[in-house]
Amino acid sequence: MDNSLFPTVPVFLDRSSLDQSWGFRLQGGIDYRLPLSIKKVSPNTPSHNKLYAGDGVTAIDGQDASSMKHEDAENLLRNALQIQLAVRRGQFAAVRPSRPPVKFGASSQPHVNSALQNTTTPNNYRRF
Amino acid sequence: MSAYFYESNEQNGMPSKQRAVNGGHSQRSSVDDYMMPEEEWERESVLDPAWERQQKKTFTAWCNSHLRKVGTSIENIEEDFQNGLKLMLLLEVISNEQLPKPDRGRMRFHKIANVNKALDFITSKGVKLMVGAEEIVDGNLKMTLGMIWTIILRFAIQDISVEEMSAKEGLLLWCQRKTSPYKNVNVQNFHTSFKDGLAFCALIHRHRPDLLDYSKLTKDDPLSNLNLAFDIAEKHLDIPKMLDAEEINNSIKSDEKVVMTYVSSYYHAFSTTQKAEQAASRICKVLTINQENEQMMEEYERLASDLLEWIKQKRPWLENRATDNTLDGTQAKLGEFRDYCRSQKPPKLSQKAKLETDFNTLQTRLRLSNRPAFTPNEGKLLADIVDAWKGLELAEKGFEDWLLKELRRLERLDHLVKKFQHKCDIHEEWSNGKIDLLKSADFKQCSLNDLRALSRKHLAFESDLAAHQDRVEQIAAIAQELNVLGYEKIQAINQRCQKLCNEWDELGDLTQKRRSTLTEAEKIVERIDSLFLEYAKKAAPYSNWLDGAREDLIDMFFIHTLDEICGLIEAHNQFKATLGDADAEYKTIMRLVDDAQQTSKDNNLDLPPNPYTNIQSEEIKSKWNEVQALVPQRDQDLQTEYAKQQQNERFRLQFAQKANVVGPWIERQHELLQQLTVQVVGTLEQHQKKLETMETSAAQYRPHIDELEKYNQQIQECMIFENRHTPYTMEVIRVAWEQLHTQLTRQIAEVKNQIYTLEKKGISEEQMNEFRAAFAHFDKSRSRRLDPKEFRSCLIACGYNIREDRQGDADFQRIMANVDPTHTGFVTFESFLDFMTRECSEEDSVDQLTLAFKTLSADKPYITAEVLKRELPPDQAHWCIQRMKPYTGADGVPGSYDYKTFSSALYGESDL
Repeated sequence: MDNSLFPTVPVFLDRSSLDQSWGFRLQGGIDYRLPLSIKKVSPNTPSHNKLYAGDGVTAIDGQDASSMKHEDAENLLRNALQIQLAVRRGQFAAVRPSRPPVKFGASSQPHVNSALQNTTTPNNYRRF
Repeated sequence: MSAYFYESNEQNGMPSKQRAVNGGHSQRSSVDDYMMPEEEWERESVLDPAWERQQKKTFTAWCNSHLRKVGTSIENIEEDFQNGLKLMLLLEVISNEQLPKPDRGRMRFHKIANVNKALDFITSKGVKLMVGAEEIVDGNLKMTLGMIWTIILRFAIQDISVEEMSAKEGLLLWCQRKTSPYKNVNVQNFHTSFKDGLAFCALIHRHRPDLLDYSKLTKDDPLSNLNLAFDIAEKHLDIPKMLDAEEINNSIKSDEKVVMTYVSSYYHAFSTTQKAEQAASRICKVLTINQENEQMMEEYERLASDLLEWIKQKRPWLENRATDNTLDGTQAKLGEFRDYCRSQKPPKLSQKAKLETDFNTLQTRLRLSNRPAFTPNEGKLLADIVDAWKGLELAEKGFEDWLLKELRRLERLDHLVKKFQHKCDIHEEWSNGKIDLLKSADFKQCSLNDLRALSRKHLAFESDLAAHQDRVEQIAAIAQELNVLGYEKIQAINQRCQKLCNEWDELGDLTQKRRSTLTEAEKIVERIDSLFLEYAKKAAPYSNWLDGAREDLIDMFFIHTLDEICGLIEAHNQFKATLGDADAEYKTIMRLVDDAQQTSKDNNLDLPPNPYTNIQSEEIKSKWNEVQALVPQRDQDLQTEYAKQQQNERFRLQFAQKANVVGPWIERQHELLQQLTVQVVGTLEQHQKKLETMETSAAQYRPHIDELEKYNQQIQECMIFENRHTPYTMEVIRVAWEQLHTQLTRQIAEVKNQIYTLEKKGISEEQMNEFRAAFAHFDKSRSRRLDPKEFRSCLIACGYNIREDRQGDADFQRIMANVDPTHTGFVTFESFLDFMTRECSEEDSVDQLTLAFKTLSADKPYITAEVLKRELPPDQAHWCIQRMKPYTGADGVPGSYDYKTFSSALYGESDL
């Protein structure tokens, strides 16, 4: 994946005590064969408006997170009052369809609407 | 204000207070009217004393069943609620909500305030309550019972609203549904229907058949039935005894309120069990998927290791190009290789195909169950296996080429060595003793005639010597070729060749020396008998020609084609054409001998030995006879070889004819498969059937391949290397055949996966066809996969708003990473389907699983091994216990487990 599309953002979090939760769900780790990422963020927590669902975590307190185990990342985060993260914003955000799909009947002509091929003009695109 | 009563919010009509004042409060005295959810509590009328007694006992027990959770109880219902404190506590327990802090004082107005707090709370739950706090504080039994009934109705019964009916009707309907399968039970109301106790027993048996044997109960023993139900409920369901068996049985019509209260406790007890069962089954589902997936991963790793290990074993053997320099050894190797191609490799090839399909199936399953994708251990990726396999096939190709080349080399060597030995033998036979002769000083005692004869004889020898030059050069050339071909025992050859050449050089030297010696002596030599001389002149070259001819006639040949043998036959025929001249020459020579004999006879002389030559006429005669005999022999040898080449040609044709049938058949199958994969007509099951039919017909075609293999073996055994009658080689056929198999297997697995997806996702065949049509539309190359550009267009067509800017690129990159996790650069139909059918709601699997565990553990933040063992099947409970971490929270108990972390970990997540 072309990482340049997702700018790296520094995120600083702090909390008053170890009992207060950071307010986000961490997903992945090298042992799960998934990149570390933010699954969801709860409102009114230290992470609110700082982290977003779909952020890819690239570093935790200056340590490269790309080959970190889930448990290691978890322990770093659990035992800190302040934490400096580097995330790639929106790297793993889910993409969903926003329009109804085009029907491709078996009988439809093999020709393609040029708008489909030429994605530079998505607004011209219509059902056929 | 003559009465208090409650009524539900839903009632629209005359304000109840007004109705009460108007005395309309007694209009519905029938307690059988279940369609009316509300009822009235008449202050003035006298409550049936029996009913009052029943209510007092039942309501007290009901209150205590809740108060015991906070470690308290009541004994006398009209007294213990007077100060309002236990009343507030009761409300807190049953509502699970906090009430305002009670007043601490003991004065009457403190009590009234506390009771009012309780009454306010009840009112806040949407119940209109017409009871004064004073009446409770004063210990009015009738009013207190009325208030408690209101609480029971609101908190224990009203929530049981089956299909939006009134509370009472809902509870009745629940009883009817649960008891309908039981004989002798017909629940129509909450008094007489429960009188014989069978209804209670049926309710228990329906939910916990382990607790009683319903078939042994009879209508005729109501007291036992009632007591049995009450005992079991108390002992096993934790429902205190609230009713008195004898009173229920004896009264003509019991108070329905007490029965409702008691039955509602059953309802709550069983609904908890039901919830736990649902939770357990949800956990089981999730765990089973995980266990199965783990098994599949292990199976994949095992198969992959197996296959890679086999390839690792085979490769060195295929890469080993060491020769033992024997034909037999090399032939044996070729046999071993054939066995490898036919019996060892095919099962491994299907193992490889199985590995690929297993892998795809597993990935599909993982995606369908929202689990992380499976990446095999380092070195066991599909790509690694494909690479290893390619390496194997490369080594295999080189190996066969090398083996055949080696065979040819060894054959040629064998031939050359024999030729070399043969020529050397002839030459050595000739040269034997020549040196001694050349060195002899015979001429010194010779007469003049003899001397001249010696001189002439030497002349003859010189021409003989010159004639042998050719053969010596041939021998040296053969030795040279043997050197080039790397003959194993070249040293012996070289030694012999060297010795021969040295001898040859020495012969040359000696000949020159003797010639000069003889030339010196020649001055005294007289002219010798011209007849002898003429004989000598003719005999020597003729003898030499005879030697050469004999040599040619027994010369061995080494050829591969019909053309070559025809060439040899032609050469032989030309040779035969010269035999007439040779015969004439023979006769001339013989005439010379005859003439000489005749002359000596004529002159009465003993014929002296011919001084000019030691070639006897007998020798020439025998050689000539031998040559003549050899000619037909040679004819026969050539004909035999011709026949052999013809047979080889037949083998070629046999193979070619078969290959020309088998090859196109396989090609047609490939085309058919290609058509099938491009367009799916009919249902997936029909499609699968078509593919399986093809698979069957391919399996039935197998004997043709075997037959072809047999012909191929024949060809190889006959050392036939080219075949211009067919474009197909066995190797090409084998590859096409194996590809056909592999692709068929893969297609079938893909269709099965699609069917599995269809079932799992619950999408219709029609939807599936739409996805397929969309995919096919953009699959311009008909390769059954989309490149990123095609895929992007396809996504846009499917409604994804992927813009033509950086954001769109980013979105698309993410999707690509999702559908093509191994970066092949292409999107298969399976992963496309997978992506399109992935649940859009993205339901949070972790939260669902956590909730299920929470239900099992009765809302505790931890779970114990005991609960797990009770609620889950043994192996799944064991699986959980092995993997769960101890619960570390302060509120935990010893041996409790952390199910929350466990649930998150199953999906690779954790809440921080």
